[in-house]
Amino acid sequence: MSIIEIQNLNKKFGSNAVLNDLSLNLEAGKIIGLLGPNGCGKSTLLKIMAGLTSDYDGKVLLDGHSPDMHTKAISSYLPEKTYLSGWMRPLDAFDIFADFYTDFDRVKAIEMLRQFRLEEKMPTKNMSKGMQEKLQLILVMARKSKIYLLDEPMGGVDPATRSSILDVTLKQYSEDALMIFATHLIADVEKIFDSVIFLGFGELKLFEEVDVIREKYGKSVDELFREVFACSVSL
Amino acid sequence: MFSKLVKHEFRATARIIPFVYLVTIFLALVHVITAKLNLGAVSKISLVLMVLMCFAQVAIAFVLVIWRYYKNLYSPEGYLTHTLPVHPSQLLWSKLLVGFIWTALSYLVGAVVFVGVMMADFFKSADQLAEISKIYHAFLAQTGLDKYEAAMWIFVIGMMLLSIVLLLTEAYFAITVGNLSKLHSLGIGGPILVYFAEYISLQIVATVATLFIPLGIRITSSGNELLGFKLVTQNMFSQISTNFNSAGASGAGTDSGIIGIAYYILIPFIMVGLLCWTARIITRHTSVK
Repeated sequence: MSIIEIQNLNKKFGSNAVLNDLSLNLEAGKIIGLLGPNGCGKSTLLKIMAGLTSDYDGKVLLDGHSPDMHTKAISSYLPEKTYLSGWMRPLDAFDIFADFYTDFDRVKAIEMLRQFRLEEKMPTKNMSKGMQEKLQLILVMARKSKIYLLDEPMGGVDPATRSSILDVTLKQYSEDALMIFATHLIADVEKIFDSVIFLGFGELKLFEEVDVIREKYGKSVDELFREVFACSVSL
Repeated sequence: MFSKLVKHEFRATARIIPFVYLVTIFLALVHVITAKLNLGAVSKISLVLMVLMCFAQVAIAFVLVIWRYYKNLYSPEGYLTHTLPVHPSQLLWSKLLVGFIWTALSYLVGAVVFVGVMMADFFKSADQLAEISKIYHAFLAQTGLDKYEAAMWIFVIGMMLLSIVLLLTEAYFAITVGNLSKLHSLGIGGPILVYFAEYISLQIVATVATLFIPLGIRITSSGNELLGFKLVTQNMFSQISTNFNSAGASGAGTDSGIIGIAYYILIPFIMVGLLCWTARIITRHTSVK
């Protein structure tokens, strides 16, 4: 059964259609790569699912609900932006998450904080962008959610940190959950994907299992992506 | 969840506002101490600064509360706020409650500090206090308010508190509408434009309600002496035109006039309307940049 159902989703910014009649059914227990060029609607799609954008047309259901209090309680969203106030320290952020999300595991969060060598009492304004991204990843992955929505979780970090982020993500991910992972760094991440979605300017170009892509096209996801979006090969 | 929202809202805003109160209290103490030590210049400067701070702290609290609303809901911080598992309208109510408490507390702290310093400075004997009390009661007797003293204070304090909620409501509405996706391209200009449009609309409503709705207070006077107030069901505009015509005919003034009060009755309805509209927009048309 699909944990996420999207039917005929349309979203426009002014006259610019960012999502154009998009339909998708996503099942639990998978890590899905959401891939596409800049401005193709990846972040917008995740924002709609996270409940940050409510002015859209079409049907979006998470666990049978349109984005609401229930869907926010079962989904864990990591935006590409840093959303913590500058004065906030990791412990303050943990307090907020512990208060509002019943599935937040504070012990696990502190353990990950140490793993990433972040200080518990350092205000986020004193942290580098990479440190802030790690902290936000900790907040998201310390929850035992049904759905994880990750928007460019490795956008601003060095290659060594990317590996540790991937390790943490995989370690904390529970196998009955659905994880949607939007990224441009396909080569670094494709090994963890079960399936990928290619989104091309609001339209679904491809939704396929990674193993099938390798068999059918004889290419890696990264190679196929470059082919589809750089040379406009029709599938 | 509402109490948790309120708790975290207090936590975030309490980092700055109480320090503003401390500055006011510090200036008051400096003034009182230097006055006792006869350090004239320092005492006078600290008094002026303290009086300015009494007013400024209300403005500072108001601006901080409004800025927090914008930042927490519509800047990148909104990515966290809007994904909390709470009903979106609770975000509005919690911010309104905390904003109201800080602004009202700023008035209260200012009033207490100001009165405290006045008591220390000027009312050094029971006779002086008695004299002030006498002037106050004479004013009430002269204006006929002595019979309604308690009601008058309830009305004055009630209107002050209501005006705080109205100001917050207007600002929250403007920020919320100004951040609809259609106005994203205007940036911070969106909420500012909406606020001006809202302000002008409310001024028009206030003028029309005050002039044309037949509910007012008739004030009668004789020379410089106020004779009394009476609630009447007449509109202010007809009274003004009557006065204008009679003054034109006889060349003489009048000893009574009506002040329309219908707008004050409308304020709670306008406020509730704006709040419900704001809550609806947050719930159905959220679009964080």
